[in-house]
Amino acid sequence: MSAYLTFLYRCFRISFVGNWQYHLWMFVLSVITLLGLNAYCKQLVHGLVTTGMTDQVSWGMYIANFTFLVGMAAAAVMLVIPVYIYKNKDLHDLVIFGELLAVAAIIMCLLFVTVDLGRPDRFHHLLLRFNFPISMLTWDVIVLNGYLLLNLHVCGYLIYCAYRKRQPSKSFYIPFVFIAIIWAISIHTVTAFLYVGLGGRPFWNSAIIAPRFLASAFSAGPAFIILTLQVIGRNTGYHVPDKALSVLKNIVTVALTINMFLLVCEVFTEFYTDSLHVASAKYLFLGLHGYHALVPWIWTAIIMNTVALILLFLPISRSMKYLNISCVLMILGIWIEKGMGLIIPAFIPTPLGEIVEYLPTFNEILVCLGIWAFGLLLYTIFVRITIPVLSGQLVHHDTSKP
Amino acid sequence: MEDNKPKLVNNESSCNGNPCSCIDAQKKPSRRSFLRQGLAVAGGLAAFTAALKPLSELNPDDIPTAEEFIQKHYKEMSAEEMESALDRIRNDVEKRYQVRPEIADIKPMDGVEFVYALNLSRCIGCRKCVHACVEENNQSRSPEIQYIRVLEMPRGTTDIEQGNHHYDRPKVPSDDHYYMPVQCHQCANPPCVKVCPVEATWQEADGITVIDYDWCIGCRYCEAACPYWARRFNFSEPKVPSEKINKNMSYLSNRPRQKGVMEKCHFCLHRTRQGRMPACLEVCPTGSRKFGNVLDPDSEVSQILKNKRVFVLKEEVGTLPRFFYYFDERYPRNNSEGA
Amino acid sequence: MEPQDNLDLIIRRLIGPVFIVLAIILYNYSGSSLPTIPDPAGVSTADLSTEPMRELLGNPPVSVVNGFERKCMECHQLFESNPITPEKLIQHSNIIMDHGMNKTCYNCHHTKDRNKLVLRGGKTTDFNNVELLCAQCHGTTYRDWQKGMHGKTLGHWDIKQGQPEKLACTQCHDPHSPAFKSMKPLPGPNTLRMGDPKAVKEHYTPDHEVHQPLRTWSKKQSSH
Repeated sequence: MSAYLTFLYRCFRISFVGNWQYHLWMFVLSVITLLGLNAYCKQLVHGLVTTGMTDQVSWGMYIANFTFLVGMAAAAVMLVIPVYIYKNKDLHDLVIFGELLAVAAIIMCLLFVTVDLGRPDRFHHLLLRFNFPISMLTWDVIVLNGYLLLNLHVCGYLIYCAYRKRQPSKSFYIPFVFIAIIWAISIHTVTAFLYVGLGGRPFWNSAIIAPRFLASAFSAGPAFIILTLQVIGRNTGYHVPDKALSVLKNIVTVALTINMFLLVCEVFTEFYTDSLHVASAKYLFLGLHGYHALVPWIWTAIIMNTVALILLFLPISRSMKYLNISCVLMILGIWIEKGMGLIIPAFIPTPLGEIVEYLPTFNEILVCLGIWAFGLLLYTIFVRITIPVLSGQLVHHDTSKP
Repeated sequence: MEDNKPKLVNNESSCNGNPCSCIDAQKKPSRRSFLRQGLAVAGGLAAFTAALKPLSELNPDDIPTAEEFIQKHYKEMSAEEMESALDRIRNDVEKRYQVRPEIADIKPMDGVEFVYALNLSRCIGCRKCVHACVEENNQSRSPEIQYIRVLEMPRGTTDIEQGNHHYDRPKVPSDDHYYMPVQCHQCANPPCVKVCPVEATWQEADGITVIDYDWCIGCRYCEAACPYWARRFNFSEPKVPSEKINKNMSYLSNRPRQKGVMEKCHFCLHRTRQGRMPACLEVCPTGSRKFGNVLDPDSEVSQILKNKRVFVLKEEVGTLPRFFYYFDERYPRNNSEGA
Repeated sequence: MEPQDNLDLIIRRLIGPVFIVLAIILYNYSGSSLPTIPDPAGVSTADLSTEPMRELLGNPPVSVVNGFERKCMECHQLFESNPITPEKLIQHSNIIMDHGMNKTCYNCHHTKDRNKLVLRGGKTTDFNNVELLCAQCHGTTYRDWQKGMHGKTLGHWDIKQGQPEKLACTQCHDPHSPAFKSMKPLPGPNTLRMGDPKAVKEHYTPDHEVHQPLRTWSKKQSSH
């Protein structure tokens, strides 16, 4: 037990150790986190009126970011499948990076949901009176927290075993890894079902939402991992195998192709039918009755995704530079498409046909940035701890031996 | 993993009392670096504390008391617990608005299922129902919360998207339009009740979908789920002028709400569960609104359901609303002359 | 680890002071800047009265003539009235006749006894039972009114707890100009954020010109 506490203490200490770039990065993230915390305190005092949300558009940036990040968390498990199912040993260590990203992403999701609540002081009501299995939000609470615990267990166990120079016992983590694979699909499906089951919002009430969620998650998530692995490779001594990046690139290419195809399916169904239910899609893609705030955003996202996909198919993407450009475009495109392009249009027009557009306030944006910064901070700390442990630089000293 | 060792250190890790080669091995810090680190830590803590400063502006009334925190769900409260909750509410309201309310927990009547019927041929769109509701139910004036929304619809369509919410004519009704007020329909298959994660909203035996304002966590999932845009959220602390407070309150209906919780039309249950009419009906000048017990075959609403061509909004969504619209003779006719 | 180069040194030196500056900024600028919440709409209590639209004149009706309260027979016992209703009334000029085909006074009023209203077959009724007269022509409306489907019913829906209060026809309808009077609507919604009316006016175009027969008809009706 004391060895574990020492381990934790050393992890805490090592988070502050690094070169100047590391310190600068952590410092900037800390500042942004504090600004976000400050903005959230203002929101606690005045209520959600500090955000741009209204009765007409009652979910905004917070839920948009939550949706995107659940996808990221689910996609981290995409690294797990090649290693454990296809027994690709080269990628073994990357599993931990993927799962750590999942942990950080889930914590961000939980934070986004908490800041969206009108009465966070009543969180305990969820434990006392839980409308399971009828309310999809209860399913979401269970699967998100379960996924967090699963990944914390797997990573924590593997890292601690490496720290203690013990061989991890397979029965302690292999079953959990397999559960995590299935669980990852479920967290994003359940989040999709939150929206899909609402008959009053025809924009969401479509069977294609859940597959689109998964396809876009499995594009943006591995893309993010491609970028982070290169950052890790450059800033620590850790060598990232090329095989890893090419496997991830293949996953991303397939997923993004499916995502774009599903987009075409959705657009055709809405616009060819041209029923009254198409109002929200019209608002998003073309503008409705003179309101067109989201039109430039969605078209930028579609163009970015298309360019990213084309780049991936071209041989030019074998070079890191173009692969990175493609990844960045893809992540931004999917963030827009899944966040603003999914959540906001369902509220415009309202079920009674009123159009009130949504614009996030400065305070709301600060809270979002604060949570993102906090998540990146956590992930950096996780990586900062993991690499020395895995490479043997941070190990348990058995001071009891002579 | 063997070829992944970084080049930063050159020993394997094995102590045996030798100088530690681990990455977090601390050399003795110089005074300068110690001061620098100390300043960074102190600065960080100062910034953290300063970030929390807005909380000092938190109204102490907003912070839940221990009693509020452990208050049970409405359905689990015993009579004594309800009474002490009502007592707390009396004191709260008196403190905030200088009015001592008469508040009770009015239970549903037996053998009653409420239904509302609205005659679209008679509604002239005067919006008196909207404002009477606001006065009766202690709704926030700023920001404005109104449970009822009146749509000015062009003749010949029931496409809600063509309705105008913001009509402002010198005189209503307008010849080309009919008027459709929409409020919570107390659906028999309510999507809002399905989605609430904490069961803060549920349907009572008389058909009214109620909200326990002390249980709602403010996630607004019900607001997203409602196909009729009937639910409202308190984005800010509701402001009700003290002189306009309606003293006759009930736990589940019109007691003043706090920020961060949902609210909606509840068919004025503090009135209707005592046999009276809802406020919107009483103020309606044309008598377009009809309310009563559908289980009583002689009630007005039963007669309407039997004899008039009633329809409900968005029937295809399957919510089974208890709010029926009908046209009877002709659209209301404009008569701009006369007193 | 000791700093290796100048940049390293600068960054590490700055961290503490910048945090302190941030603390000072956050402390001083934590004042709230709420978005502007729109002002509440002004609605007076008089607007929300539940009283019926019209006051009854009583049975027998009492009207104010030249500042004096007069009953009908006070004049009509003395004067002969024109047996044929003139186009324009000389007395009772405040009455506006706009009752469709029902333009003749004696369709409703008794030729001799002005405290009575006439029904078919020579029968009469008094002003407390106006609905019997109205029912002569508006039978379906009367049938609905009897069942509570037409007109306002105040009071209680639950007859065990109190009486419903039905109104007389003339409490809403002026018998000489019965169409329900139009009125100024009360203020519309003024929620936290509203759509931009300007956007709608400048850029609105119908989504596509679809022939909607009923709407074309109604536009034609209202243009005369």
